[in-house]
Amino acid sequence: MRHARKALLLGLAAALVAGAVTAQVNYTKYVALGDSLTAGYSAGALTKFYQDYSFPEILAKQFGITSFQQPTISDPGIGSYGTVLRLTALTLGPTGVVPVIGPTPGASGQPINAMLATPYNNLGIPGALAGDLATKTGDITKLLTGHIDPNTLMFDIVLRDGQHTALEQAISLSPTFVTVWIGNNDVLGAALAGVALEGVTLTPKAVFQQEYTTLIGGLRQYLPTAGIVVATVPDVTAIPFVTTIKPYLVNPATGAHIPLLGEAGPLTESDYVTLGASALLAKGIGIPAAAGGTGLPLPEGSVDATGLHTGVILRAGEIAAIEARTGDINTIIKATAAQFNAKVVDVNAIFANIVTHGVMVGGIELGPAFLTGGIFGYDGVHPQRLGYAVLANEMIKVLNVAYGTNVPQVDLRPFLTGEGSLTTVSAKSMQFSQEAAIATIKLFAPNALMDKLEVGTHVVRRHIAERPDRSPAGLLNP
Amino acid sequence: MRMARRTGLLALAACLLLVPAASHGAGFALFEHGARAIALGGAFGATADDPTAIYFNPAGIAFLQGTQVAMGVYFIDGSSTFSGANPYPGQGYSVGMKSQIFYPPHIYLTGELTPDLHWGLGVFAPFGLGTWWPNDYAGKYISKRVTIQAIDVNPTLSYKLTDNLAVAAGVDYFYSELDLTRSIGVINPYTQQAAEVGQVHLYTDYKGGWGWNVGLLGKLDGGFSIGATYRSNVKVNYTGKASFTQFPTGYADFDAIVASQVPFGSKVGAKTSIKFPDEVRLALAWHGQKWGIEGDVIRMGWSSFKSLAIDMPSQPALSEVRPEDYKDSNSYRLGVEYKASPSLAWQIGALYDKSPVPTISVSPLLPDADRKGASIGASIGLTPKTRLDVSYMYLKFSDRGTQGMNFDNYEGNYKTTANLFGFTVVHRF
Repeated sequence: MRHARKALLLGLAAALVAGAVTAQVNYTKYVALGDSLTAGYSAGALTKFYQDYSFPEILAKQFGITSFQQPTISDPGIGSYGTVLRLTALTLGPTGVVPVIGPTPGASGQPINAMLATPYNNLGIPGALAGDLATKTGDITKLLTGHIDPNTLMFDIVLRDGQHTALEQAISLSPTFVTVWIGNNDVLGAALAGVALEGVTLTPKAVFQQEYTTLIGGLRQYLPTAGIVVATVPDVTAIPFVTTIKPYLVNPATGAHIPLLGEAGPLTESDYVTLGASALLAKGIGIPAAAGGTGLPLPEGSVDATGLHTGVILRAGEIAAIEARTGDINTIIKATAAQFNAKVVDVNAIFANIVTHGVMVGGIELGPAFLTGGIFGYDGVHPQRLGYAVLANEMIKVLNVAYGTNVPQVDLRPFLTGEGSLTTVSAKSMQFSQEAAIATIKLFAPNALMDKLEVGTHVVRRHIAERPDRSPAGLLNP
Repeated sequence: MRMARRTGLLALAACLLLVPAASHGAGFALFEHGARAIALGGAFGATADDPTAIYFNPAGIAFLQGTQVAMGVYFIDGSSTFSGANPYPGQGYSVGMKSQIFYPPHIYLTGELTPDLHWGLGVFAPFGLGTWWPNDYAGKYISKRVTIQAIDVNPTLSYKLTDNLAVAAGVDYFYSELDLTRSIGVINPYTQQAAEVGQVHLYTDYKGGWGWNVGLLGKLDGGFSIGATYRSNVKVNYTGKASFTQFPTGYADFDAIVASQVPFGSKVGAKTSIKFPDEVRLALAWHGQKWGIEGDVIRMGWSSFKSLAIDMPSQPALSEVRPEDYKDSNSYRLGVEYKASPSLAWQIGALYDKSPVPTISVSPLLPDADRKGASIGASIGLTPKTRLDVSYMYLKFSDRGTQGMNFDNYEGNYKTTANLFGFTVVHRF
């Protein structure tokens, strides 16, 4: 550990004296800053199975980099205290397809290269907010000595030395090329908690502006010639975690819609129910008595003197607030990029295009649908390996245009069909634990809320009340 | 009853008629409708001096003597290989089209109603497509096997205005069918990868469509002749069935969900239509005592082929539309003939066809490309009234890459060649 810290310091010093290298973009020394989406997090865990195909890892391979270092955790990873969410069964339930997704049994994964003597090239920290990258540190000794602190776990895994922030570690590596994809958690927390509240689950605009400018400005100050690429924040209200469960049941006899019940009254067709409601719906909560349910309402979520109570409903107004803030953040990201001579990968536009038009791969149309869409993984929030690969290719297209380079796209066939070098997922029999669900949500939520999230969340099973509208058209490629 | 029997016979004739692996006029047009014309590179619209003129320029039959018949067959052996590119199916991936030999036949009859008014009846295959890839290849979700057949039954009348000028008009009745097979791919939630859950086989009945054609042939001083023809669009509306077959994936509950959404084991009514392109041909020839030469320019109105829309009224979710967006295209043909003796003539020819297929539509269904062809042939007098024409053509398609633009995101490079060999027997009664 001491060696590692010394190396970090030396690297940092070296960065400070490093002069201009070249005016053109040079992908040979790449560092990725970001959150879980940069880390290659998926299925509720940080685990090698997905980290090996994080988008920065894919980009690095396409750049020809052979030693791209990541804070790899052996399978089944660390996330829900050592659980990977995997599918155990798909059965036909009364309201549609009912998948049971559960954690892999067995011991947690362990850090594979925690003693690496330099900072990691992939500095994506699950759960990180924009403001965290230039302010927070992490200490791996807590994990290695068995004193796991869930509040800082991911920072401890990625940043390790207890002294240097992600920004400082990135600079210390003297990268020639940096990607920064941050800000997702500044709006995602609202979607996950089912509560959109300024300053609680949504980062205020002025705060984000200041934090983001500090981050990108700091990078540019110390890396005056590096290629810096920033990514925008996708519309988190279009992810399967939010869109999968409809706010109504369908009367099979008449086709009429029967609204689900929330604490503030029946849901309207423009309200959303998160995957967090699946276990409650399975118990009849949220379903009117006349439709065979309990007549008890689904929690809306709230904040009071005792803290934040997560809900499973996003009312139309909350969706609007999240989308508006996403728009604010993306405006800030683009303006800041222009200010500091950084290029923009508009992931928001890329994702919107996938939601609207799908993406064809070898005659199969991929889309945002949960489980069958091919883009998102089991947590309904993060891409699975194929999704990360599709994203990496979209980024490569943007880089090639922005910098006039000719980086080859990654071959999607192994991701799509399993032919080639990828290993495949093997489904295992398992149960889903409540702790796993809570821990999963904690990883995405703002750190300040972590303790409060312990209460009120009972996701014991994920459940699709009704297949997405696109099915079966979405199931069959046209 | 008579109608039914006639339809049955034509359908039988149609079944005998198989079409090439990669079509051999631009797009999926065929021009292998006479061995001598093929030997001349397809440049025959201003020569048009045997019954195959019914296709190449019907005005030519006004100059034929007595009752004549021409019949023959063309064997077409095409070969396509595909090399993948990223992002799918990836660099290093390659696959060859399955070998198929097609043999579209042709039959023509001509006769005199009056010395100046001649009749003709031709049966040939003006359009055809047959592509067949291995069952497990990477493009199986786009197309595994396609057959498009169109047989033209073409009665025509040709009138000699002067000794040197004739005009003709004819009717085209197309008998056509489609047959398409592809796999159905769905993301399997267990593996988060595509699973081949089944296949859909769409096949139509033989359906008809009407068109017409006109021709003009003028013989000028000094051995020159000019020809011009127009063949109209023909639209065929197809009805047929789509049959769905399930392939177990090894995940029983997943298979059950898929089966709940796809009508496996049943046949679903399907409809589609194709508007076959019109065609203008301008031809100029010169014939001396021993030598003859001809050049033709052909423009095909392929922009009529906008999309292939498969409509399943009872299963709207399974309907699909494949954009095709073909462009009008030109073909250039050149042929030279040398009459070595009264009973032996040699021909050589060359052609260049521009592909009508835009880059986004270059797909396993039809990996079309610009093509160059070289041909050689001979006409051998067997008896004073019977002639045997034999010819061979080699077609080299330009390498065709999808340039990352393919509609299905099936990217790569196609290399296609074809060998064509055939004969026609021409007999004058």
